[in-house]
Amino acid sequence: MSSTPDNFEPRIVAFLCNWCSYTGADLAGISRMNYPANVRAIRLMCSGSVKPFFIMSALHKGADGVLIGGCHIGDCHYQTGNHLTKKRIPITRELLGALGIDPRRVRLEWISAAEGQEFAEVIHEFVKELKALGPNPLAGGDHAH
Amino acid sequence: MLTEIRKHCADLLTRKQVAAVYGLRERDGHTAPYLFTRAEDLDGLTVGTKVPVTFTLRPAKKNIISAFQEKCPGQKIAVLVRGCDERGLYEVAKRGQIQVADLAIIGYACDADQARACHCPRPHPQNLKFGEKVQGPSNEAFIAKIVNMSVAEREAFWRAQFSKCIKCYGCRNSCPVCICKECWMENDAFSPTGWLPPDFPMFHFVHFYHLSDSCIECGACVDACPMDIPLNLIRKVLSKKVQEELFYTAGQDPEEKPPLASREEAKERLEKGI
Repeated sequence: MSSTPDNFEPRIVAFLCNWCSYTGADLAGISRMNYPANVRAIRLMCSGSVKPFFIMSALHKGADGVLIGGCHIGDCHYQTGNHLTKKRIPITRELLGALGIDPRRVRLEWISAAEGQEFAEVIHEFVKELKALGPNPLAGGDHAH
Repeated sequence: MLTEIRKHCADLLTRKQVAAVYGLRERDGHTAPYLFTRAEDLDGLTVGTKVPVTFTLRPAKKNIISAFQEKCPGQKIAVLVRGCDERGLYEVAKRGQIQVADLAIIGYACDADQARACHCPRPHPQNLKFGEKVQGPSNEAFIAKIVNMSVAEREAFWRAQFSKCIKCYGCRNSCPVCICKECWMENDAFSPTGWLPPDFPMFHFVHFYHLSDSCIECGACVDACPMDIPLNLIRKVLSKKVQEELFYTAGQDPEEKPPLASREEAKERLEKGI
């Protein structure tokens, strides 16, 4: 992947919950909404199953941004799964910031199954932000493995 | 202070109010934790060193007090603690390892010099019996060093620091609140066996994050690190964030639930409506 600023295309790993955000992304697709093709979606049963280590791992393996999509608070299919996410992500972002990794590379969004439009908007915004931030300096890691 | 503590402990033992006193013993110039069962041994009892009283036994991943309680259930043990030792006991009690009700916690305060040496903001236990409370140095001044750096400067700083890491696991092994049976730091997905130094920042990220809501700021990891990596800089940044975001301070109340493992919102958050 080229990393010159003008044609830099960020890679986003999106951890999407099965019940809301993934379905929301699906809705954006079947409604033929346009959004940048920079997202690699990973479907999980709940945003609460996204361990902070997954986020770190994605950044370490070369993702320029990580999006975590979950149900709105109160709408979790498992009642309280996203409450865990809500607590974890700010702490994770703080830790990344303290270690010298721009916390803006990690984004938490509540996107319901009916919010295809919002999903597309979030991706537009995130890609724009990541283009401004430039390539992830961690990409590639210290050792190739 | 030491004579009073010795007298108090001897009293507890002779009147059989406790089965044993757990504290530090100095012998031949070495200080180590010791379980005193006879009053005449108490001459060797010492306080005021940096040696931690509570620690986790490896590879059982069990607090030392927990091992006593398993061996002699229901026996009352007196434990001589500083502020950090007490917070460590409370943190493992929250995770079900020890029964605080079976302990007689005897606290003593650290003096200002010790507090400064450990960068300890709370150098006194809640069950304070001996010594005077002193104000510890503030965390704000300590963490200003990295807080004032730009993101790129921080990355350069930590890359340089972590490139010294020899992956001895000293920071983990010395930690009194690090008690997971299955340790993510040993997971090959994050830091492959045999790579030195470990990849920035995977190996350290796991440890920092996992202890973010249980770090009691005792500084044992920094003391253990043979390469002098200032691990407590990040620990203190995270503890501050946990206080601001989750309204939680580790080691305050053994009945509290660890916030990152529970689904309930902090009541302060609900009251403020955020």
